[in-house]
Amino acid sequence: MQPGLTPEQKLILKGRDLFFNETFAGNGRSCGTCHRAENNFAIDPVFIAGLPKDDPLFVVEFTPALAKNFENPRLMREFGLILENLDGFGDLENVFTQRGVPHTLALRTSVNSPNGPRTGWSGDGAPLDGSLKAFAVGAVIQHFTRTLNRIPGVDFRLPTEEELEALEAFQLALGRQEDLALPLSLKGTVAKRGQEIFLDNSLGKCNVCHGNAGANASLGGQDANNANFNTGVENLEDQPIDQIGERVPPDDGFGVPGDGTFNTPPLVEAADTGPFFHNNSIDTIEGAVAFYNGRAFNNSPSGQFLAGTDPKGVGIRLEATQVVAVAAFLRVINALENIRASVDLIQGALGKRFAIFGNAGEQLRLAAFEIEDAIRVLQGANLHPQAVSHLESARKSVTKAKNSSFRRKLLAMASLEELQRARAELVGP
Amino acid sequence: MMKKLAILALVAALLGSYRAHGQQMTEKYIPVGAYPALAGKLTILGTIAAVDEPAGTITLSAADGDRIFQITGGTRIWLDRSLLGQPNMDGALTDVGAGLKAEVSAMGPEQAGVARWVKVQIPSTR
Repeated sequence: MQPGLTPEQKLILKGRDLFFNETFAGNGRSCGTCHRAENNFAIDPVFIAGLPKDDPLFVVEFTPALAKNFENPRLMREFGLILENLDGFGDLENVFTQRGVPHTLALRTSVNSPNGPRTGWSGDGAPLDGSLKAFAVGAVIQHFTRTLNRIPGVDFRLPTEEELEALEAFQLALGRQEDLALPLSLKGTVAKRGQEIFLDNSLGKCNVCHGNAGANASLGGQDANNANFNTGVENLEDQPIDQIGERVPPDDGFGVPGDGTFNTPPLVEAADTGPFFHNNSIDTIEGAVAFYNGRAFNNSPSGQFLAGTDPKGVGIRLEATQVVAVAAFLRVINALENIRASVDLIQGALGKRFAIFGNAGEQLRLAAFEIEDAIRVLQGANLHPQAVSHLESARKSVTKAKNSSFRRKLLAMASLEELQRARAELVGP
Repeated sequence: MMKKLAILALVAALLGSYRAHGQQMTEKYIPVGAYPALAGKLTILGTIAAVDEPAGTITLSAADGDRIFQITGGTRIWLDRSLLGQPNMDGALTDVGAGLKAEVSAMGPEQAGVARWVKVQIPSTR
């Protein structure tokens, strides 16, 4: 145990242990089964492909009682999709949706809305009061059960209120604790232009719903906080999931019956947490930005709303160069967030701040993943090669630090210096 | 002016579609009274004092006195059989008997006397 912890920090650590280790007497899954710390608290097909056969994620493949109507292994492995019975468990054969796993980063900035908390892809992921605290109750019933009878005390045990409190504290402590204040003094030409387009309410219009690249909207002068919108993703043509012959009912979003709306995710963390949208329909951040150019979005209620505010009646219409510029902006702010997070993790390992993941080795291991993500999102669009060079040095140092007892501090400090150099390549003071 | 009105109407339509509730369908699987702190503001816990089938009402004896709730065609009635180690299931007003421990979720403030759902606990000795 770290010395001098506050009661809140102790609660966070309790929540962390529950999140990763507690199976609630169920089928072997924990929250961390789908929300992996080393993969930005989400999973995707590439990550899934590296898991062993007996990983609890694949419980449906080795548990006869769950063989039917619990998960679709093909959709899970090929598209990273998880089965959800959001409209009830009454007709498992026909009433279900297939959704991606949203990350749980920056929740402190994104779970509030004027009409109550919003959790999960459609904002109604939690039972009871709909709060983040109550979310785990629904998750245990949906994903942790031993059989499809879903009997509390037999197929799982429900979390206690104290456990829910700890789980909430841990989740709220993950990732960014506040929104950015745009514009940033970006150094890259393309990313800088992308930021201008993003913030331009007559061109990119991104900032209307994703204020400061977060998850909070401002509509017609009203602060809508973390709102739900129907952006037409369900009407997108040629979605991969529609091409493989598996029957997947339409996802009607929020409520029962659904109103077709989905909750706005933050964008700072987007570039390294694809695939995108509730059904993982698009793999690249460029594709996700381009979605807003298409018919599906522009014919949707949200697209029509934007068109209604435009002097020429246009929803969103960007040239290819502008799509790439907005995506470059999102890549750069994602890399900056990776750098911020990895600095926090390394400083935690050095005892300079609260270490949410406990021991120094784990803090450094996760810092290496964050740095790797920064490299990947920048290299994915040939952005800032000099920053990438510093990041690669930082990754090498932090990996050595993790494996070293005697030189850990020195190597960790070297990594921090390289991270500051990388950051300086991306943004000015 | 017309454009501003159109924008406001759209904003109202977008915001007005929001309903503050949780994942309601999962409620069926949560035992009666399992989360008093989380459900306290949203549900009323008590014991069924009376059932008036012709009138479609139930009377719940709660901590702050008796409360009468209207049961409509949209009200869901759930039988909490967790004490029996059996799956919870859908029920009907005829399953709701006096003396059973129950939890009621009422509609919003404007329809506080109408039940959204009623969950009754089937005792292990029944």
